[in-house]
Amino acid sequence: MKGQRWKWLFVAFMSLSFLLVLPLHLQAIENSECLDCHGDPDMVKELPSGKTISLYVNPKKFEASVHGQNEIACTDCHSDITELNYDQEVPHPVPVAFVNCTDCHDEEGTAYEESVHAAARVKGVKGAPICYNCHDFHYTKYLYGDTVVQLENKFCLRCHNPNKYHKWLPQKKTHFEYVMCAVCHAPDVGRHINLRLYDLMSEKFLTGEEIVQKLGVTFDNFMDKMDLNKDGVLDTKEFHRLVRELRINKVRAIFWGEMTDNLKPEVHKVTKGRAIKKCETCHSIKSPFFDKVYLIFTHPTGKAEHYPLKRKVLQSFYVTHFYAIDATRVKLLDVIGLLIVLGGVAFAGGHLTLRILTIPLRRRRREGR
Amino acid sequence: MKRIYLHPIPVRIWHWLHAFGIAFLVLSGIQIRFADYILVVPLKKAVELHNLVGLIVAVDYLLWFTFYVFTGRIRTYFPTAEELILGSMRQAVYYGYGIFRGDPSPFHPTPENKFNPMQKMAYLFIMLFFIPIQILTGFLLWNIKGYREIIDFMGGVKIVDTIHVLLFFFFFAFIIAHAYLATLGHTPWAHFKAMITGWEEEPEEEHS
Repeated sequence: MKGQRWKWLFVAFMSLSFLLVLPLHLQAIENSECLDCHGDPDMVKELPSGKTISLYVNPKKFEASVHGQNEIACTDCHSDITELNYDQEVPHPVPVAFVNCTDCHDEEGTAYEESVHAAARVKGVKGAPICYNCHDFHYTKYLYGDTVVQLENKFCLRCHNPNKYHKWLPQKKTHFEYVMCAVCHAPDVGRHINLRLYDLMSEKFLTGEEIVQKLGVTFDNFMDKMDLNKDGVLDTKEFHRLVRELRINKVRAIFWGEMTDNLKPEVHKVTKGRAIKKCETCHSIKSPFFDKVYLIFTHPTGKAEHYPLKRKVLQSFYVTHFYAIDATRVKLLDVIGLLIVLGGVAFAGGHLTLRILTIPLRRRRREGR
Repeated sequence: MKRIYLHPIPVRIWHWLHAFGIAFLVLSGIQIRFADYILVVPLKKAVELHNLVGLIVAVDYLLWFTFYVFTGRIRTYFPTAEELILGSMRQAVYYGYGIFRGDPSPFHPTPENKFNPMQKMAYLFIMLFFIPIQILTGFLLWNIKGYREIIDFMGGVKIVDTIHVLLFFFFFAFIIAHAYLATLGHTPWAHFKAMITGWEEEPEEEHS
């Protein structure tokens, strides 16, 4: 009997909780309610100066954004708007409170706080960036770009002209083409090499779909099919097999290599005066910057599959269009080179030795003996 | 002792500029390629000096080429049909056998024909193929982004680098062999002296 009573008490508690929560849920402001007004392209706000600013949010673009795809509600960020009062001209408090991205993205926020950007903002430097200057307000996208340059155009290059600086850097335009800014400017971030298939004739990158179709694999089983020893990484032998498969299937493309940073929160800690300037940090066969190498296949959404490769793949002749002095040198060439030099030494040394050994012979001949 | 004016001043200046330039390029090349093991100066400095000296050698080569083409001296580098086979064989036999016995050299230089058949063939390849290729690949590697289309056409930056590096090893071996072969005059320093003074000395008895 006692057990039965507890059971009824539990059901009653749960029912009451549900009844209490239900109205709250019903009261939550839906995105559609916000977009009733903000989805109108003509929606503007007049500033005291007489200028107008657009308050329009493109519903389709928002839906396609990272936040839209993750079903983030408008009021998750604009959390000061808890209810809409349609009796007022503007149904929510005006102005709305400043949106603090770090409420959710706290690690990124911490890294940013230690960055040169945050320091400039504290100093009151005009144009010092905050989150949305790079990531946009409502249309934050997955970070995607065919090349380092395309990616950087969306971020650093919007404000910075790297050609104005970096006078010390040899081959600066080559570095800008193949190395992401944060590789040097965010010293705490991890780095890796991305290899992507690029068609020199059409000057286009091959999409992941094109590649998997031609290879007769899927994004998911690509590694299963190619990684013969099942160690989770494609070594030079397995990479050779992949290259052969690509050729058999008439995929005519080169491997376009780039050094990029890991998209971790630390990438926001862009520092001043601590950027890497020592060439040997990167240009060394022991440099950890080349430890992680990935073959990239892109989905139509822009999301990229990263298939790990052994570092030695970079030191092979399968990757002919990416080379960093010392760091990716072909060791076989050094062996050949050593043999060439030893050949020169052996010739000179051997001939000299014979000349010395035959001195008595020549002397005897001169003396007519 | 017979004295022949073999090397005019422009040739000597060119030769020594080229010799020291290439030696420097080889040494700095070793540091650039093996920065992990040899770091005499920072890598950046080594690359900058390598580029600068490479440019000097390229200009020096261009001057040499212009001088030799316009004065007709370029003919010195082309072996005749007879020299190509018989002459080369005679010279090879001398270097590989006769020189140890004290035989006279089968070749006697004149200002118009100063290289023996083996030298002609070696220098022809070096001066008309290897050095221009090394200069070309050096220029391409000097500005990879700027010359990307040519680099791609040649098979990629690693291919261009491979050509440059193989030739670099070849020039390293060549300097050793060349410096040694220069000691094969009538005295070990005779050819070195000739390249400084311009006058080559030849023992009279060798003409008999």
